[in-house]
Amino acid sequence: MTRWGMAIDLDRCTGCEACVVACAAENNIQTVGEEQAREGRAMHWLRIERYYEGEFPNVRTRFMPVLCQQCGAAPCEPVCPVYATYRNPEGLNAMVYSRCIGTRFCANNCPYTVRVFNWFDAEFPAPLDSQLNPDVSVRPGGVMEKCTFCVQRIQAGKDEAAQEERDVADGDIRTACQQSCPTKAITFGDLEDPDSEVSKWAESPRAFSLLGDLDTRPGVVYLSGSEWREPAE
Amino acid sequence: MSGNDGKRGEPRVTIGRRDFFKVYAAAGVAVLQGCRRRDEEWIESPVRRSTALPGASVWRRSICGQCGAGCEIEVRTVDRLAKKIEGLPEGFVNAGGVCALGHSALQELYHPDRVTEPMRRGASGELEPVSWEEALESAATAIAAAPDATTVVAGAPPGPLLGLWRRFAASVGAQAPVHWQPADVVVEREAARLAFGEATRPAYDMARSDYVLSIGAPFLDGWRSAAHFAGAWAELTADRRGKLVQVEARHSLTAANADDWLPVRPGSEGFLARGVAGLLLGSGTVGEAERAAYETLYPEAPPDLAATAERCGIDANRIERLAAELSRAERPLVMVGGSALDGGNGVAAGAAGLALNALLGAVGREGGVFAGVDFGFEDRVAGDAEATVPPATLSDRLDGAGGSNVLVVSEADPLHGMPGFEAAFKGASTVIALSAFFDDTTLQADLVLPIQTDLERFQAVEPDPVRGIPALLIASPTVAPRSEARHPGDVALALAAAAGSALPWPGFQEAVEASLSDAFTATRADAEGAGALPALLITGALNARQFVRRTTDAGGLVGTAEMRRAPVRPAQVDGEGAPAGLPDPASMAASAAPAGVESFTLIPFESVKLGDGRGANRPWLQELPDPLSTVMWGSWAEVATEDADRLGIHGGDIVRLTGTAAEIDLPAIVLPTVRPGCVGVPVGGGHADYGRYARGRGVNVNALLSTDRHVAGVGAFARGGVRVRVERLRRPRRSERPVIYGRGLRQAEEIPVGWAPHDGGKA
Repeated sequence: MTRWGMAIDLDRCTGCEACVVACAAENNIQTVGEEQAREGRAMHWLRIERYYEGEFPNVRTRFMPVLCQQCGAAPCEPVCPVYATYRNPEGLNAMVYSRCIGTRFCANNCPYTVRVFNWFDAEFPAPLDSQLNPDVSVRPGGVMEKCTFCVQRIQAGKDEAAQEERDVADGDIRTACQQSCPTKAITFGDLEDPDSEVSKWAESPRAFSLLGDLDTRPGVVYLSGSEWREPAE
Repeated sequence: MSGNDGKRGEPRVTIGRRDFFKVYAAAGVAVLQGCRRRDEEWIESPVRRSTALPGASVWRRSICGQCGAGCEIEVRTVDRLAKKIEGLPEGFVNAGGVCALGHSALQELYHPDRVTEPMRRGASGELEPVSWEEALESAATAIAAAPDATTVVAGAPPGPLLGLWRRFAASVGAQAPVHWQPADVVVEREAARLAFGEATRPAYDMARSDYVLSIGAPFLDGWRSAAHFAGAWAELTADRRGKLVQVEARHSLTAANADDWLPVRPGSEGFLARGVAGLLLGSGTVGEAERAAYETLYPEAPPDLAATAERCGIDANRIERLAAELSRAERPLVMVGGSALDGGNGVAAGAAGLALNALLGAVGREGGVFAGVDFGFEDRVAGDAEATVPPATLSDRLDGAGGSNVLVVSEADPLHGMPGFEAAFKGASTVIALSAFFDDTTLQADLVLPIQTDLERFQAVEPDPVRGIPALLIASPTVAPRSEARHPGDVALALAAAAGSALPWPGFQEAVEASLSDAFTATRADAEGAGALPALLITGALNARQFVRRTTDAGGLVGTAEMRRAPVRPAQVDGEGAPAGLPDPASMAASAAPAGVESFTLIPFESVKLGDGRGANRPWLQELPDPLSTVMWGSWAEVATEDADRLGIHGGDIVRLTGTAAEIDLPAIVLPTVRPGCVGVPVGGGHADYGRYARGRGVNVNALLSTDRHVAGVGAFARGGVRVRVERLRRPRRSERPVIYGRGLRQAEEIPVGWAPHDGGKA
């Protein structure tokens, strides 16, 4: 069985945010405008966290892309009263938009704060809507959304492999953030395949889980050799 | 699939046109097959019927035109609509990367506030729609009435389009065009001329270096090709193989990713370069040839360590360590750019930095610096027309002709981007703007001619010489033009014809093809002669027509690594042609400080969000948190923690920055990364128009600059070294609060705890 996973090498991430814009373009993520953004309602599925260490002039800056961790034991799932979010057989925390009634319990329970809520219907003033990706739905107001690991690309990759009567090969499927990264800091693939690149990255001595002591069993692996990281026990 | 198997540095002429088109016929099938499993049906189903197009995806190659770097991209189109931009993996400059600004070109293409038809200012004073014929006739009449008082401002990237504007200006009898380009390019070229003997932008081989000293060059912030340099940085620092040291007062994104950041006093960057040279010369590690090359450039003794540390305002130990590491490195490299070139001593500072390469033996070797060579297609199209002049000359031209001037502005917004230009602008009797948007300049124009955006037009670009290999990149339009927009090159040709000075081509594409044909003919006649291409590039073509067809189909011409060469001067260690001595970077023409208790050095900078302001009209970029301040939508002032404590400024407070000519109010962001005594403000905000997402957002920091401060030696505006007063005004009103990205594991500042080794998600 496949478990889709991602590995992000923080030592290669420059914080350029090309991935953030690529994600918005691929997944029809709406912009909410200045006033709503001021209220904390920006809709990014992927954000770059910035951390400082030290005092001037010996300051170190680190960046960390944070997206849905596609947890194996996801805190967001059991609190949904209508089962709008669930774990699919390939390890994705999937969302059924048409089921979501907007309680936002899932966002409240996500320790990574990666779920975003559509306070209003999305607006793409014409002809901006010409850019919308036809493979991805535009979510209506009142619905929660988050990173899907570009599930439409996963599906397209599986379909292409099926047409060619073969299995999906490692590297066939590339998420939008992965594709856009100029330093190739992101890799994506099947964590159950020991030969996949993502599995090899996950075996690195630099690999760790974000907030791993919560035991959420994330499908996202981070790599960092920086001295400021909490030492592994 | 690629005709050159992805190998870098090989001629691209073997690539067939079809190689750039990836047809994913499976996409249509995906819609049919995607509903086989119940859960997948639930996850994603195309509910938005108006855009759920059933057509197949077609990936088309194009060239990103958001800056002049020449990154190659692939554009996913579905039923003739552009959907997504990705980097072309075999891209000559970018090798698959695209920056945030490049991704947002889709929102430029499909912006709801684009200019859709030609407009002319009517008797009522309002812009009114007219036909293209009427617009061209009006423009031609104005130009023909005062040809020698006509000035073209061209924002085209280097290459044939810029050459066409030069040819246009010569044809109608106008003065040499003003090339609207990044602020530091003119200074960089002059610094290279002094240090290397060639006024071309240096090409840096960062990926093969093992130690990079970047003096002000913000190469991860959008300077030249951010995508290229991000990839090169990754190679440099992979497995801690190499090291990056960034020298600049502001903690840019590049500084944030450096192994060491030296926050020197603004304006002292060149002094640091001279001081480091002194330590290297005294270390006994410099070869005789390198010493001779350097001392030819600088006969005087460099400053000692104590003087350097004092002048730069950093610890002497850090300078010593820098020099020691440089001398130990196998392939060190010194880059200059950005804020180091912004001040009055920018040329001297740039030359001092570049000259370090001569001392380190980095000129013309792997991992070093090369000459920024090109194939000269700009000149081929321009013929014997005059070369372009820098933007700083624009005000003088308009001031000098008594208000009868005609200003033709193409793809530039000098009213927003040039400090103090408003007064000179009034000297233009007729302004003709070629623009896709009603920006600050277009809003004031008498004639507005709508032009195509990058993805709608035929492109021919000589890319930024990031690798020292010459190239000409060509791309066909990706999508059909919206409305009546035309190619700016075609408009120039139509204007010339309407003015009675027709050029020999019906369109821009034909002009490019003619220049290719001429190049082939010259090369075939004499492979070593003037105007010839490297003979390798025409190998296999039977005639000029076949060469042109093959080159345009292949997406251009790319040279080989063997075509790289060192700049002329450091190779001549005998000193032939060397100057008596390069200018001393010790002087810094700081402006007078305004009256007040606190005087700060203003550092205007370009963020990854808005660049020079071009990105301000894209909602994706406005709502993109700045990676360092995390501010979305609008402008901000970066204030050092130490200064904020002293002045009682808290994060979000509205502060007033007062210069000699103006004052601006904006929210303060208090950061531990700002050098005390400095205040950083991003450029690119405060547009008078430029569409609904940019109009009135933030402030234009150029208001604090003045036109009477120039970089010595080139006449470019000096935007560095400006002194301003900073004072706290008030806590922000609700509508004034900076829009700070509010999400995080914890709000910034601290490192998250509780991280644990990864178990692969299997536990």
